[in-house]
Amino acid sequence: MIDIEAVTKRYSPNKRPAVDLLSLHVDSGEIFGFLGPNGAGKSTTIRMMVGLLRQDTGTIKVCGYDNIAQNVEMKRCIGYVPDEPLFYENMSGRKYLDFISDVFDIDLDTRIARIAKWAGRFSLIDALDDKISSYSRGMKQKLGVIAALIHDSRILVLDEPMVGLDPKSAFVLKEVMREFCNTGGTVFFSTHVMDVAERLCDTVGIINKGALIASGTFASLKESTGENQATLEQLFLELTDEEVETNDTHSRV
Amino acid sequence: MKKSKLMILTRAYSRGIGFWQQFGLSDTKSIRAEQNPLRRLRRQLVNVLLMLLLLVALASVAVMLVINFLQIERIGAMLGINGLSVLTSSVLAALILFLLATYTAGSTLFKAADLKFLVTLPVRADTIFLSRILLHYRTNVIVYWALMLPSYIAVGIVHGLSVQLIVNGIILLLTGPVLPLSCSALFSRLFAKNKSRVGRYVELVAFGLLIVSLAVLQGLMTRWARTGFLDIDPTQILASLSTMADKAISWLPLSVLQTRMIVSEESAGMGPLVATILHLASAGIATFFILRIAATDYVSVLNFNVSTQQSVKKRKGSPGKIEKQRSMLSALITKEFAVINGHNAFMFELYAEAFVPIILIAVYSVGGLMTDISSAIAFISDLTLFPFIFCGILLAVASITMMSSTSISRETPLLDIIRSLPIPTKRHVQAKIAAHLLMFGTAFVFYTVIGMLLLPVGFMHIVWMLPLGATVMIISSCLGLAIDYMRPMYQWKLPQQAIKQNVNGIIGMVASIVVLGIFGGLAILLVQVLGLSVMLSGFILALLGALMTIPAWKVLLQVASGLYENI
Repeated sequence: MIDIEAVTKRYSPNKRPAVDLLSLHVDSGEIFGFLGPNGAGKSTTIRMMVGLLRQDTGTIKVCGYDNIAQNVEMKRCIGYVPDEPLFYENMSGRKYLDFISDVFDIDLDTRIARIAKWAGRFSLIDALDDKISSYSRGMKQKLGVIAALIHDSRILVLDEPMVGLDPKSAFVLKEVMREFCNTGGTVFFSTHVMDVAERLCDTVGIINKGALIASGTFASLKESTGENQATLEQLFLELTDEEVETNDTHSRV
Repeated sequence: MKKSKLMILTRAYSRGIGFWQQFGLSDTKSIRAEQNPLRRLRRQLVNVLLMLLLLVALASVAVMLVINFLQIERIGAMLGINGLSVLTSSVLAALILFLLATYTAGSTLFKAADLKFLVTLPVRADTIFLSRILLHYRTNVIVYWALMLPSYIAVGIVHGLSVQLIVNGIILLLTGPVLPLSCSALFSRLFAKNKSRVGRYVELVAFGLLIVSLAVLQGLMTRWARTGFLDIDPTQILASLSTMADKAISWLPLSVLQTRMIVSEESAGMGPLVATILHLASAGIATFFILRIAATDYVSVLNFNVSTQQSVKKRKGSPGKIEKQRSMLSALITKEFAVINGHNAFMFELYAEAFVPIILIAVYSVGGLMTDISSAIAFISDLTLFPFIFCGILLAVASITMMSSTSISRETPLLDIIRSLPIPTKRHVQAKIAAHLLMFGTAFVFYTVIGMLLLPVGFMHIVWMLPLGATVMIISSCLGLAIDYMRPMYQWKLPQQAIKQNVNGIIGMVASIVVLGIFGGLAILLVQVLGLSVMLSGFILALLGALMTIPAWKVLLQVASGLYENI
């Protein structure tokens, strides 16, 4: 479903790459948790995957489509929720979802049914006719998730989706992610919340300073580090700290 | 050294944005950082050209104002009133500054996005308020200077350059804007805690007042000019002007003090030093009290505006329904208008551009100039080229606009939404051109039909005017969009910056003028030189226009794909 091959992205030629020779593979039916400290390159990777940014080298294929050569086709199979919920604030929630439905060419009956289904599930139905400018951060986040789900995408790409959500909505979102995978879809999401990643993800990838430092199931990560009793949080800290120490050692040498 | 919190807050606002960037020009630092020498040279050249363009535009307006103020100053000298130009400019500058500043005061002082953060800092509310007033001053002061400086030049030419003119001129330039800006802050404060229709549309009120004031001023000036030029009794004119000036002097003591600061009037018994002190004291006291009232309850106003809970409105009645499925193109056109209607600054600018002829008719009616215009039209309607002149004027309204040339800049904060959707570049561009045609094309058709009913144009000319109009508008829109796609203004904090301070808008308008000039030249060539009939020439121009849309469209698509597809 998602194939990232030796991808590098630099924002400035004088600085270290934001993403450095990153390779990743995510199968269909999987929830993939993309973890890493702040500034590790998570959002840059996601922005390249959804076609907002072009990599300097390497290839990215999503649903078999190349992110550069088949940009539009690729976007058609992705439901993307950005880290910062941005909308046309002058529209109402319903108008915005209607707009997204028009872009994805969803017929009238289907869109009405899907809007009712998802807005009901995320408890947004009462606010759907209010202007988005009056929504709280959490409400905007829910609207973003509904917009990503409404066109029956095959891949959900979520950048920090739990931020701003109330406990009930966060629970619903986790349920929805699992259901989405059970029907053959793929979820790729970044998070800082290790508990969520540990309980929800089938596989995780840990990125630090632009490079993928670990990838696999939680069990395989524990095995490879020899920390069989460790939590994901402990593994994450250990792996990212090790990286820092290794780099420090290199610089001392 | 410990910096004052006021200065920290004031400077923080512009951190990260270079001076030139706020006008849509490249920052010198970013040009120097460009690695490719050819690209660096090209960016430098583009910047220099754009700056020259801006300077020429500013200089032409300044020269026009200087000539007007020079005439006013000479008339003042004939009436025995030295400094009449300064008196006039101080009244005009204060009024226009007040109205323009009211138009932006709410977004700077009470509703700016960064206030959400500032209100949480351990800084006194008064300090935050004062820092916003300084920003308000910095944003708007240029308007005051642009209107006052030409009158100083007029005074310098008539009365000679003096230390008084220079020193007090600078003092007045710095202190003169404070009172009108404070009044705008107070006016905006009255509605800042009001979420009703009146509160939300205070900027619309200010904008409406600005248009009405300009119309009335223009009307008065043109009526006055008409009387001056057509009436052959100069004594009567001087007597009437003298009465007007006397009334202005008795009604506007602050403007009189400002005038006396710049030009001495021995009969007034007041030296420039006394006038300066009196002006500073009176304006200072008035400003102090006005700002104190405007700052009342500032924190609660900010909390009111940043609180989302209070702003959630519940719609009464049945929930909105989705009536029909639209095509991607019509959905994108709706999005274009959602962006325009998302900010008052965009709405006022673009809708006002579309309604320019109606505003002009109102101005000329107030000014009593409609009879003169009718005679002028009767005179030129005999010309063979009259249908082209008529069509050209209406096309100027429909194509010399910022609609397309600021289209992407207006959308930049939300660009990621649209770029993440599976929309081909062609559809994006079609929607933007269609939005232009919907707004300005509709206005063009409306004015053409009304004009044909009222003027002796000949209704049959509509058969070439409409296709010619459509092609010229499409070409202008393509050029404007291409300009904005090449260098959109990515960073703006106030919506006005994306449209009013966006140099792309001016370049787009210049490009449209060039297009109109080409078609005008071709019309003269076909009708006057080659002797073809107007009807045939119109069809030839429409055909040429249609052919020209092809390369314009191709260039536009190529440029636009850089933003949407070649990520």
